[in-house]
Amino acid sequence: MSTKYRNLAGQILLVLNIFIVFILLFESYLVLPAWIQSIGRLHPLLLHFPIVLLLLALLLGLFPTTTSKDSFHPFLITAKNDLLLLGAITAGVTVIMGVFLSSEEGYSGEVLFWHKWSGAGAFFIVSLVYLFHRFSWFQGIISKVLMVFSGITIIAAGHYGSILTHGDNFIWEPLMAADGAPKVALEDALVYQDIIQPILDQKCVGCHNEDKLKGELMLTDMNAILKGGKSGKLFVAGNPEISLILERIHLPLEEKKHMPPSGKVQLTKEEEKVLAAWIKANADFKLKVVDLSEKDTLRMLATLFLTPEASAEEPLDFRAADPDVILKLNNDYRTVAEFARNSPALSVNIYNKNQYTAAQLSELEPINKQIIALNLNKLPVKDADLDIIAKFENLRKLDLNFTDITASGLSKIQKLPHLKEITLSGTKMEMAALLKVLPNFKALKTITLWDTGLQEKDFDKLTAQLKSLNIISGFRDDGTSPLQLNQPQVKNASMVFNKTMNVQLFHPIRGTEIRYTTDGTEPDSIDSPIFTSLRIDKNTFIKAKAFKKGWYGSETIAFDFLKNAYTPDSLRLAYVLNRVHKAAGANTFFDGKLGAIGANNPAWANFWAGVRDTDMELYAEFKAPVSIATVGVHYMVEENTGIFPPDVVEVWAGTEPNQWKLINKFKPQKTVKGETPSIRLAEGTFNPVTVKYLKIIAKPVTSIPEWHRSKGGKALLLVDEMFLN
Amino acid sequence: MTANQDSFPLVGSFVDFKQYGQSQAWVSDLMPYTSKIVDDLCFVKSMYTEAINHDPALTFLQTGSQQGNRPSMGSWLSYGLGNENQNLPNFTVLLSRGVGNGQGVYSKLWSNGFLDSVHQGVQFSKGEDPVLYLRDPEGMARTERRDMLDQLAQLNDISYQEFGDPEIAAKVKQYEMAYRMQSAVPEVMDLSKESDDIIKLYGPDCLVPGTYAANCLLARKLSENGVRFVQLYHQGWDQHGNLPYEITKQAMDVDQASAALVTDLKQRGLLDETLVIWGGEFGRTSYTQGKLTADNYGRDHHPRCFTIWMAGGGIKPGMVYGDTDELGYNIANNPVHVHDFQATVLHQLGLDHEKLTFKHLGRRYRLTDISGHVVKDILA
Repeated sequence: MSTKYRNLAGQILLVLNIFIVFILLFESYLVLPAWIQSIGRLHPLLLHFPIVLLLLALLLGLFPTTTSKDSFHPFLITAKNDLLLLGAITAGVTVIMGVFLSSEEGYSGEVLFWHKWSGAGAFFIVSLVYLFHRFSWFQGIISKVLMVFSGITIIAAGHYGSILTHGDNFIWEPLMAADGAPKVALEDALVYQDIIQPILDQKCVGCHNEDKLKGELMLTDMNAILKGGKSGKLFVAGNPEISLILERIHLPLEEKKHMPPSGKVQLTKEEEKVLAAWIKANADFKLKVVDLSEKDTLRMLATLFLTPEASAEEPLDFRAADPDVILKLNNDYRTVAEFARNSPALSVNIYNKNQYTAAQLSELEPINKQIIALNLNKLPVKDADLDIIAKFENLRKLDLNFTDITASGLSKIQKLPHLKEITLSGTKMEMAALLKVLPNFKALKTITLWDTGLQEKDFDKLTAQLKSLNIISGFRDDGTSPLQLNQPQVKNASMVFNKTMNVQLFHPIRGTEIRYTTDGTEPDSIDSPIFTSLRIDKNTFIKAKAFKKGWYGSETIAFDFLKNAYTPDSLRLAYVLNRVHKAAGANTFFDGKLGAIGANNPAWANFWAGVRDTDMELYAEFKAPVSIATVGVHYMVEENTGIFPPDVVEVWAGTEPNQWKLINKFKPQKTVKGETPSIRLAEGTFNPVTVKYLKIIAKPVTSIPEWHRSKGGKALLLVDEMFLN
Repeated sequence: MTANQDSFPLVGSFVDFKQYGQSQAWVSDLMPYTSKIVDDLCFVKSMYTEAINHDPALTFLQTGSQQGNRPSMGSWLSYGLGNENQNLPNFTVLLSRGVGNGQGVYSKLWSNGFLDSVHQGVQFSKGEDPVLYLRDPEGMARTERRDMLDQLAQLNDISYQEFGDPEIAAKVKQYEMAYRMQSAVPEVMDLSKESDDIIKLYGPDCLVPGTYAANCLLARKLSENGVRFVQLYHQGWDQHGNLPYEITKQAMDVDQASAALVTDLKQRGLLDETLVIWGGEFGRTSYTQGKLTADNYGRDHHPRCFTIWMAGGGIKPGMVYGDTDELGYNIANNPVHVHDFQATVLHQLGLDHEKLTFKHLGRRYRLTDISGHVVKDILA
């Protein structure tokens, strides 16, 4: 550096000194525009220059002066002084920026104080060292002592600065965590001692200890905590809402009284919660975690602090496969996909047993390092195919449910170092071979062996011998809690037939017997015939029950097979049907579709034709005359909701239009109070009459009897089908 | 509050509740099978929704919006994850109903909304043809069908080159999938080979097509075969009156088979990779609706709090999350909004609910609209 520049720089240093003294004195009056703030924020960047330059200069300055004859010595002296000058100037700029930065929100407190004054102090000292370096009295011991001192100050400033940015104990933290004392076992843990106090130690005790006693508060032990501080007691046991400590924690960060002060490490949400829960639980200092019920909030929170972090998954130390290769390996029956988002690991699923060949496995060779999950469920995979799988060295989970794998075949993959789970449900496993091979799987954690032919005692033996293995045996019916069978069903498309019908009853469960009666009695499992086939040619009322060994018999179900020999060629109704019971209009009565009880059943909404204010008056016409001897009306009764049987049914007939003759009139059985809802058939039988025109009038009850809550009102009549025989 | 009544008498349940398992979760006596598996379940007792009627609440739960036309959760998943098994649809729907009043379950609940139509839910119906028109028509051999599809694909391709409509490509894909489904579906839907243990596990109704039990069994089979999202609807939960009788029946319909599904997935080693969710669109009031007699009463809709359970899929087993107040009216602790629930479900299936978006009519849409937080507390 030429003398000219050196002098200029020296003057700059002097100006900086004066300026810094000035801003430090009048710091609290500083009002800074935004662009200055940005400059202030460069402080953490610039500070590295003075540290390096000054430490280097100080190091040079400490060299022994005895080697002054050395031709190298003058160079060292010059270098030292120039470095000192440059370092002091950058230190000055850094100090100014630091002051600007500290005026921003969030910087306050003791650490900042020490950082500021050690930084500024270091600057002043090195400025002095530089200014005095020409004087001979300053050489030797004084200069060296000052240099060492300024070095210490610089390091101190740097250290406090690092606490501001990285927090306390940043450097030693990893070391301390590594040898971290084993966490206390859940059974022995006390809520206060093992959870609350450690939180206080970490976040509060730095300022609230016997040395510092900020706010006259100490948080080091039970007695101190109970005593409280300047503002009073810390908490009201059982009442977190009015407890001072929580109030301070929950104040907005910018509030002066917020704790821990802004700039310090704050409590985590979990820590806040567990503290509040502890106070709510009366802040008991002797409370054990396990004394609380498992569902208790405090216990659940406390357990979080006690349970060690779940050990991280084994790292996947392999590269991702080529995406083009993966794309090519995907086809209609094989899916190769990322195991998780952005993971190099792959999972492979193969489907459709008719398409399966071992080639589908061997083609996976280019990605054999990346496959960690392979699903071959329900494919005809053979033991020999496991040789290919043995090459998938990173495989974690292998699904082999319902394959042709045998226990001895498994030895081919026993060396897979990461294989944690195998599913073998639905395969045929031999106990002896299984016992031999399973201990060889070193990484295996879980195995599913449901439906493998193994018995209860086999599982007991496996569990006893392979203690670390989670063996899933699944559900096996042990016959101790039989279930009730569901009812038999009918396969016939309609319950209404024309001349004859083959009744088709069935039960969905294999090997179930259906026993039935046609005489209205309850079927039983001994005397009633077993249903095989039944051909009927007249109305038949079947009652049926299902039976099977190991099950309770079903409830009885009734099937009414109804004959309708003559279907009219045209139909019409005299009056419109009830708004919600229109069904298929006049065609309802001969469409073969029967209604059902229960307003939520579609058959209720769609198949019942209803009237209340008018008669149900149906006109039927046949193209060719027919001979009729019976008229049946199929209706529903639900006393509770006011659905009553028809009061009376009239049958009128004729061979010419409008020449009606009443040929029959019948009164169906009335309903009584409290009767179970039912569907019934009422029939009128008479001497055969030849008819071409037919009129059937079903009259609803016009005045509901006294005993009903709607007494005097009109009843609803619902009919789904009529029968002419 | 409930209309047409001046007083709102609180009424306890007509059946007892007891605590079970390690988690000591409370379960009704109406659900004996569920009570046996509580340690596999995570109960969330603090769900709440924004809608008070069935249709908007269902639509909200399924699509994240009370109005229709948004994609359903299953469609979003299909869009986000793609097919696992190319031979089956990604999103299937199975319906059943109980004795109760069946409220609005419409196909809009499994709509793809503005997403590509390949993501639409496919409804499987009961009976001989679970997927309609999947059989080859009389007299047409599978090879002829293949030829026909190839020719058709060529024609469609010409049309696609000309217009560039993505729906044309979607249609070709669906034809192809339908072709592959012709062999995959009958195999999946065949219940005749299920073992006696399985029938006892799910209950005898599992072989009666169209029942909830049968749908649970099918759900397991579909999931096992790589269908990403299987949605079951059991209708009839609307006991404004006659609650004791109807709820007993409804509970019987679902209890054994729901528990069986969890157990069955577990014994096949599939539960850790399958998320089972059981719940409804809202709760019922703790006070009665209509006439209160010694043995009969009803309850109105209640969106402010309701309970669901989840199992498997990386959710903490054996846990009870959230609480309601003493009246069972509001949530006291850890509320979970429907969007929070959806965010959590997506998270467990490997999707970020804030990133799974689709641009439509000029803005980006999400399942969780503009809210939702993953409920981290219930993740294993």
